[in-house]
Amino acid sequence: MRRVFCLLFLVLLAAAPAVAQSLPERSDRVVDYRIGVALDPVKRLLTGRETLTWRNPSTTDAVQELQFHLYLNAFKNTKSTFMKESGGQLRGDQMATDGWGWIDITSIATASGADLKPTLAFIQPDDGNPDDQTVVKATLPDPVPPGGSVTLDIVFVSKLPRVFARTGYKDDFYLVGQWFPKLGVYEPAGMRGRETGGWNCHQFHATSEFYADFGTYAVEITVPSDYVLGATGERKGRRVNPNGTTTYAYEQADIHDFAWTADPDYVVVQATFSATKDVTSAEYGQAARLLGRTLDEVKLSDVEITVLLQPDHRPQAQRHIDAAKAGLKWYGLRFGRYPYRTLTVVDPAPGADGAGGMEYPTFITAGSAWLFNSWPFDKIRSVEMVTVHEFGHQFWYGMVANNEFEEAWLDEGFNTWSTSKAMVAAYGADATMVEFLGFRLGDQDVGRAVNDPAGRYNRILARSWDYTPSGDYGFYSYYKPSLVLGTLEGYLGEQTMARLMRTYHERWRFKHPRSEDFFALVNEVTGQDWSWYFDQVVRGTDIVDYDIGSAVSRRVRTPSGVFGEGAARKTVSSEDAEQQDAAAAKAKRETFESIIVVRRSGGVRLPVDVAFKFEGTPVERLQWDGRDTTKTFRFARPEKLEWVDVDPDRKILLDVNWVNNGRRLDPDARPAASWTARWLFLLQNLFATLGLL
Amino acid sequence: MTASIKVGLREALRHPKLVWLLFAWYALLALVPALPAWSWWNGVLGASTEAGSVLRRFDMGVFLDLTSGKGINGLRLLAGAAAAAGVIALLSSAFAFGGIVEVLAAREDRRPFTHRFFRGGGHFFWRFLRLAVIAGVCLVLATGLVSALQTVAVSAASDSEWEPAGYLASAAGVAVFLLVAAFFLLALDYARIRVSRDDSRGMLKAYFSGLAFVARRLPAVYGIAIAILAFEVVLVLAYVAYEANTAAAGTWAAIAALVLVQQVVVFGRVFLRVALVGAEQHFHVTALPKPVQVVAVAGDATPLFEAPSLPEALPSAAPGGAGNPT
Repeated sequence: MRRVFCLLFLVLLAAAPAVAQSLPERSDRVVDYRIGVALDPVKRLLTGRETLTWRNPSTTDAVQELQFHLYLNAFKNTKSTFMKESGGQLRGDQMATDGWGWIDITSIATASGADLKPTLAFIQPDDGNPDDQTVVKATLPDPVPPGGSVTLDIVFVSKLPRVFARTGYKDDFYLVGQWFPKLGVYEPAGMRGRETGGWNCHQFHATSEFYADFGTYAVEITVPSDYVLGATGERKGRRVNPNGTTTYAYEQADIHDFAWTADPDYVVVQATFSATKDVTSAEYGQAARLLGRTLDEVKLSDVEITVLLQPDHRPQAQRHIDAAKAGLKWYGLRFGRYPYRTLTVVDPAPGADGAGGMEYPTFITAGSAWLFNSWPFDKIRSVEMVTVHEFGHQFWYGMVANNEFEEAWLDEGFNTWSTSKAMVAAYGADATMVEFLGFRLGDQDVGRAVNDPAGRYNRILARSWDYTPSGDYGFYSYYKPSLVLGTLEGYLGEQTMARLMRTYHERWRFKHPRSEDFFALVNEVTGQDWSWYFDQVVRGTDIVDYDIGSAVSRRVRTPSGVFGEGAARKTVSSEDAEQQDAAAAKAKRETFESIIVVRRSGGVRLPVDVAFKFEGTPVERLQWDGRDTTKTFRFARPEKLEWVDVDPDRKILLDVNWVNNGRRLDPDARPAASWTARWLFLLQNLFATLGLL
Repeated sequence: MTASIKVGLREALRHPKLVWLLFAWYALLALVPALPAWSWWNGVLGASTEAGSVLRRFDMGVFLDLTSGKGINGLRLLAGAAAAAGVIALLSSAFAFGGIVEVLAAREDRRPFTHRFFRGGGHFFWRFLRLAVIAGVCLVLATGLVSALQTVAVSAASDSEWEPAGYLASAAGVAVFLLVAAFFLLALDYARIRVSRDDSRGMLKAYFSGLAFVARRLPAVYGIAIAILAFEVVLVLAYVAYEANTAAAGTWAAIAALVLVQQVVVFGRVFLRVALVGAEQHFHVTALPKPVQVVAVAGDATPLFEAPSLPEALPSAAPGGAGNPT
């Protein structure tokens, strides 16, 4: 009996932290949207009616003003902040000439009938641009008390732009995002570090994405009956109307946005992610061990995957499904199960590239092209990478819903890091981007490649429209944060990092964290203060670069010359000294003096391991705190130094140059020979062609 | 056409020294930018512990670490050296072609091989260079026009609802571009062959006669070039298969094997280029009408015009071949 008790105690002990950290089942559901919308494919218009209930999340503030995003107005004219910042170009896509889009609130009233239309006023909280109409405020007749709620009835008309910046139409293809009046986030005092309560409702910027509150959505979409429809959430019904249209009903709780797509040409491919068939018990066991959780805690659930493909992309159906399953498995096992029952993957129409590579709750858009159907371009894994990445946003943005305007790195950077690891798990290291005829390219290579020594003029922690030049948004929101997390993992080890990220996700699932929350959690999980790290690499602008200043290893010679004074004076001739050296060498009693100067060429000070390999001995490691600009290591020992390497495990992904991290004392000519052979071959072929023109 | 291809291949086989000389020349030219590259890479990679990854695969990270490193911008140095050597290669083409036609044309010539090659190269250099400039101008104008049309066509096709249209239009555009470029380059070859045969000095006229020659015999001229090109494609594919299916060049033996295979490929390409000139020379001779027999006017010993020196491939050709040795 005692044994049984002991065993039971141990089991409970092991399960204890798991119970404390179980996944939140639902969000706070601050908003409730009930929307009916109809698409007019001739005029490219949406006419909609929205019943919106908002609950004041504050326990202290009465709120009389509501703020809405009207993001389609970013495409209304060239005077909008978005158009001024982007110049009509975004992510390699050009806005079509006169392909304008806009949104009008036709009427807005409270459930009790108070007309709010006269109170509507456009505001520009970010830049004061009076021509920007992407944020509007409405004033209620009576304030909403703390914890109280208000219901509004809103009628709106949206004119979709020609596909650009994630939304719009191209021929019969529609990707409908940011299409309805959507409330900003009322942040009570204390939320995300606010001192006083207030709305967080930013204008739409060229480099910004979104921020909204969690809630429930019930949306009825009416489109011509020959259109195939896909949308956020679960389809709850379908009604064929006598006028040749069909109305589809979708519902989803615990999300903060709603997008949909329609195209008569879609090929629908469906698959089920099975939590029992697509994940082996070994994989569950491995995840549970890594995370220190029970098998129940890492258990995933089934998901219905719908891929809406362009007809010419049929051969890529399985690639999308496999990638979606890879994402569901890796992200689910690492961070917590995907809680929704559906996932819709949209393959935008040709020429609608601006709609590709985007995430909405339970609904993502892929990036593909006919060219990727067959060899050799099917070996380029951009199809898989985009699908995995956009799926990953269900976790970083979808569930852990940071403010993408103010701290884009918390979703894009976290997700770039996660995507890389998910891709490696599914497709192998060094081949996550290309694996073709022996040529392999991994996204870590690309991440390192863009980590240029010149990248020291911005900081990660900046509002997305504050990066200068604005193109730096990509590096500082995606790649550098990914390298920051990779470097952190290098310091913490895979297990601690996995537990840290799991805990972060659990704690902030269905909430709105900020960077400080992540930093605090790192300190909490590791039991150490990591502010020295984040201050430098997230808040700071400098770069990391360690290198070897010099490395020599010399035989210590027997001293020659005149030594001592008076009677004790003694002369050792050079010949005698050489003979003694030769004897020592023969007897293997030589001593080598090795002097190595390690340098910190970048401004960021990180502790590093330095590895030393002496002839015939195992690799030895010493630590350097990296505070000074140089550190000299001296050794006097019988073995000659073979090589020295700073950060030998390449934990510090942030280091802008790994080639200068190590030094061999006896150079190895093979790498240069291998590259030179290929360079010579290339040149010979070039000249043989040119030379006989 | 087939006969010309066979003759061309036989000619290349009959003149291994010529192939070796050209191979050596382009290897020498390539060494100019390759040696600084070796020096740079050996200096940086040789001492770096990170370089081990280079032996396993092409490491983009290492490559970009090198190019973005502080101090000397090695990539710019290499590009500059390669560009300079490329210009020399381009200029030397006029010399090389003269040498090739002289060697190939002189079946009974007892002069040493090097004498014939360098004599032909020197004799025709300026004329062939002028021809190259004329051909270059025509090529740039024509391909520029093709590119402009191609841009319009691809743009229109890209807007098509049928997605492959854009890609197919691009592929077709590239094919047309190559065919047009080939037209002007093949005309250059035939113009040079004609000049070497006639020892003529009017280069503009010669080039336009080359264009006319190619235009009148498009299927055969392209057929010969494409057949030789097919051999080259086989060579390149064989090399790619070797690179893809052998372990990375991590040992000295593997590096040596790689270099050997690469040099075989380059040698093969030079051989095939000589074969193409040989085939073109043969085709040029056989495609043209037989030369007019010079008949002396009765009672007058002075000929109306001098008979051109004929290529030796014709039964009536005089020994010594093209170019009237001096």
